[in-house]
Amino acid sequence: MSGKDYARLVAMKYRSARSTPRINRPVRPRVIAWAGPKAFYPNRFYEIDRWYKARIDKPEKIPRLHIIEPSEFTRSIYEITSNDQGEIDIGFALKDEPKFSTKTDEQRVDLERKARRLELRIDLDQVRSEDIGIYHHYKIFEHLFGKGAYFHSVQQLNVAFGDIELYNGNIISATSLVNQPQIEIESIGSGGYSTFVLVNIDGNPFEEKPGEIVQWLIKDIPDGKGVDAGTEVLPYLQPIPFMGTGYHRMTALLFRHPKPIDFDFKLDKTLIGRVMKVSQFYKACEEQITPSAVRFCQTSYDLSCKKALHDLGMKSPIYSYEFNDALKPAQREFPVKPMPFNLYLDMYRDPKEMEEELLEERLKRAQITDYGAPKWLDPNYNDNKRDLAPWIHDRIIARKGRYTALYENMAQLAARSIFAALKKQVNVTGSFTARSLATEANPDDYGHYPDPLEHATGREKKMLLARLAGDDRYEPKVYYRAEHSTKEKPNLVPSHFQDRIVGCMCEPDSGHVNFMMVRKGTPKRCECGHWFKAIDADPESV
Amino acid sequence: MLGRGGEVIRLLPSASSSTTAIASTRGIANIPRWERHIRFDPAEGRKRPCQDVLDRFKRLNNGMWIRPVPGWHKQRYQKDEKWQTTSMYYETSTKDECEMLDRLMTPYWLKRRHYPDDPYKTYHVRHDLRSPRVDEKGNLLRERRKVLLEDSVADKYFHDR
Repeated sequence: MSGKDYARLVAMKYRSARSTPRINRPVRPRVIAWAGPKAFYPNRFYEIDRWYKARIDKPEKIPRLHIIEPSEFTRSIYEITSNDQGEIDIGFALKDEPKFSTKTDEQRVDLERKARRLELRIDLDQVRSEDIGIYHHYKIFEHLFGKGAYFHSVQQLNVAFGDIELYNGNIISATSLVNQPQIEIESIGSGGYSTFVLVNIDGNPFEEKPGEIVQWLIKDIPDGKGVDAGTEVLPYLQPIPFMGTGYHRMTALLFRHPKPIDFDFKLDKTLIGRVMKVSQFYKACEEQITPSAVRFCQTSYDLSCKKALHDLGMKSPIYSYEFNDALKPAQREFPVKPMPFNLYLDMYRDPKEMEEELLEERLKRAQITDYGAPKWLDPNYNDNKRDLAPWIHDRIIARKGRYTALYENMAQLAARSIFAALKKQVNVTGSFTARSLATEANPDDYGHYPDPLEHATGREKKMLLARLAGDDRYEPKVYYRAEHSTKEKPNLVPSHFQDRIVGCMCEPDSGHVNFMMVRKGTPKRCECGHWFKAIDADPESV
Repeated sequence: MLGRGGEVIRLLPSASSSTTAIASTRGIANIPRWERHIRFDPAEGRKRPCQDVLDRFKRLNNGMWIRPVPGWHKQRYQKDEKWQTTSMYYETSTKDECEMLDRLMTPYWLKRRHYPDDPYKTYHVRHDLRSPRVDEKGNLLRERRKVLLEDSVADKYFHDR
């Protein structure tokens, strides 16, 4: 080691020590982890001399630099570099109106005084907001004309359903939209024609035919004349937001064109016949028409929608979210970690069987005299808390989750919640002024109570229909029981299904009925000792 | 059924130790020496079931032993909400524990039993389990006694396996 290296590698303090702490590596490594051995290959860029420092032979990637116009600094780099042409105004230019009027000093003082005394009043009818921000927010233009297209409302367009008017996204109940609206179109005074389209952007349920539902289409309305002067291509149909689909954007569009237009779209009065792509319509007539006004409102499901669908000869669909089943781990015969045994075993049981068990429990608890949930969760709470195993006690107390079915008929519960939701939507006008005893409401005000027959499906519907037809095969009935029954000679229970619920009045005097589910093929024993067996019922006689 | 009473306190018989009567709490750290092995009853001529196991555990008919959470009633007031609920669970035992507990029992306690109004009724059989139902000797392992069917046939007609 030369003296120079010694001085470099050994600290001054430790020069005389036998073993010295190393402060630097004596030999430069031939391989560097991040650069690899390639850094030491001779190459044409660097001569490996004593000044050489290992380098990455690949040129480093420097991110591309962009020159940004100072005026565009608010736009993101993505917006600047992306290829789209940006926003395109497809409508008329806005009129240049002075936004602010100049005021004299006296007027300013007067205004200031009024503002201080909270006397400034703004006449909302005079306020005309033509800000199209809300249309961008609701993506009205994007979903009607494609990305980037927009236009300003330059012509006054009033669409009024009685007192209720279409503004910028106000919520209107579907009941209010049943009748055809009155339309006022501002006259420009330069001749020409207008075409009025009322579309429901979210109403199209047909996957095979993309587009929007045209609720009303009138073309060639002469300037300064009423809607009646135009040609009605499609008559008015109230918007039909299906149940469970939330708010639909119903949009009124006005196009201006100098000459009458002609287009060949096959439109008819059925719901699927009303589906049209507004962007295609615009593309077809782009040479002649220019959009001049837009208004929109939002509406959601109502009883009137169902009625309208029935009038069209269709059924009212119910959309709901289909949840996935809860994820569960694979069952182990002996779980390694201690698991709550009842919850663990329940997780892997057949849900149908568990529902059956609940139903039996429900029938056992709800006797004829006291139907419905008891007032107290558990009248013997202290005793039960002390004596019962907690998981058994929890079942007595349980009212939530799947235990709701113990005291509630789930089908009725669903119908009731639907009715409550409908009631919320209906305008309540009179109830604030005077409160009196509840009287039966006029169906015109609130709508009819939903008929369970219309909400019921499947087996439940079949049972309701049978009841209406006077067929009592699904009704609960009382049968005589044999005095003695054995497993070999059980009481035979006729059943149209795989099983039947049977209540055994074990002792004739007791009001208690012991319910159980009897399956076909296997006889079942009641706790009192009687045997029951379900057999095929004669389809003719019940 | 498992009791939710206070802890078991055993008093040593005063006759054996005349000098002092020691009240000792039976716990995991304090197991009496006569409990450290399977006991043989000379009067009966066979082994005696471990009473502590019978006090603390319950055996389901499918062979699973369940037990309350250890220390569920200790200092409850200073433990959190989650503990208040989860400590009330009856928990499963592992396979080794179940086998050991089975060995501490006599055949009488390993028999399948069926009672009216048994709250454990639904948990005496296992559902949705695909492991073999018999041991190497052909004995049914975890179920009620029934005719041994081929698996596909059993799946067709029975809810459990």
